[in-house]
Amino acid sequence: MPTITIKLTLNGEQREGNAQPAQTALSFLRDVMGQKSVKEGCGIGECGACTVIVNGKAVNTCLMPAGQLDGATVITTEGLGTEENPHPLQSAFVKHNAIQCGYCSPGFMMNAKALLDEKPDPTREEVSKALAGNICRCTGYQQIVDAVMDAAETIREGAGS
Amino acid sequence: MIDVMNYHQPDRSAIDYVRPATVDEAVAMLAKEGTAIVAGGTDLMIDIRAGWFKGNCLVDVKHIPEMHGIREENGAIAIGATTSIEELRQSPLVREKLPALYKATEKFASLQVRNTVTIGGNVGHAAPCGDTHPPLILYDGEVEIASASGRRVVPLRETLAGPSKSALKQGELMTRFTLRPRKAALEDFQKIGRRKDLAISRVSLAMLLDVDASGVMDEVRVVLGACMPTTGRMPETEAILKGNKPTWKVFREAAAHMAAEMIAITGRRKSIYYKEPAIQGLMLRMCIPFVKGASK
Repeated sequence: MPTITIKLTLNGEQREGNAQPAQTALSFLRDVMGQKSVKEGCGIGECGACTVIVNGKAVNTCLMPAGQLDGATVITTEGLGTEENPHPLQSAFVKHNAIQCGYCSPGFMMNAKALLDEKPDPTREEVSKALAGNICRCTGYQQIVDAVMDAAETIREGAGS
Repeated sequence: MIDVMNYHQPDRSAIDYVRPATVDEAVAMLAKEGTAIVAGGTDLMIDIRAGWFKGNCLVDVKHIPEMHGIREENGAIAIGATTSIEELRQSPLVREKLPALYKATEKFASLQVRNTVTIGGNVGHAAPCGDTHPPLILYDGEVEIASASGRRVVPLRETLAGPSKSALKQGELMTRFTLRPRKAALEDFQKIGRRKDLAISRVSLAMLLDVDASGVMDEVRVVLGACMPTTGRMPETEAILKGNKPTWKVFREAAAHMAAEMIAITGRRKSIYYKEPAIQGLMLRMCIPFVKGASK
């Protein structure tokens, strides 16, 4: 039975763990690395709930073999902020009621973070387009776009001061 | 379709994974029965999840430097097979020289999927709805195929053997694509799906049209995608347009013939009530700026 050791930089820390190579990156991050923010929604790349940032890019981990995480730099929502010290995206999601059941929220936030890292000053249309691969079935998208626009402003002000 | 009520994750424990560093290493590994190429994984991982994958080893070609990147070479554009759709979308070279390919990448799936999908995977999977196929064929795309016995270059069209069926044999690997830019008055790709983003194309169309000094169309390429077993040019439709001035009359005639050409290949399937008018509308809609511009 093939097993491989995967070494990765996870939320800034050097980590390693064993995986079945054809396991999804999703189940490796969730079940071996304990990153419970990474959710399986559809499992076929349509809902975005499993989105994390791999080497600076937002990707669906349900479509990625775990082996491809070897040597990669990964950011999950666990690496975003804490309850005491939340990331501007997390604060903005709460402030704008962009969360209801919360299942889709980590995916939305990781996709939004990748966008804001690349483009700190996006338009509403750019945010909508970038988040098109994430599905939310309860909150509604307006509040989510509002939250991302607000967080972008907070991050820009923080970087300027 | 996955049966949700009776769904069990298939056993993945017997599947191995290797990561070759060069094309030579990769083709040596791929010569073994049961190996499969993985790059983005967006189709293969779904096949594994559904229990359709019968192989025993994934050969990950994503880290082979030679197979990645976009370069201009003697007026042609070379695209490595593991270049992602999002990399193509962000490439100024693609946007400027291959506008129809750029338009296809704009409408391709979602950002997360575009970051992952490779152009080689989109062609190698050979799904009839593959959105890179029409623009690749439009720009006379050729693909370099490596195997243990060396490398050869074939027209992209020849790698599409049937619906989700590639003509590549075990042990063969697409390494790069070569496209030939052709500046023209109209270079466009449009598709119709069930929604705006993350939509699988029901029908798609790429066209390249140019007129000579006398206002007659001298370069005509029409590539219809998604609604036939494989994507390809429509020679009879092109013949109707070529040598004529771009008028509504000639485009209406060509659009009607394109529908007939499609039906001759697919037969009258039940979706034909929708697709027969839809592909005609798609062609006419695409021609609006061209007909208006040409009549000035």
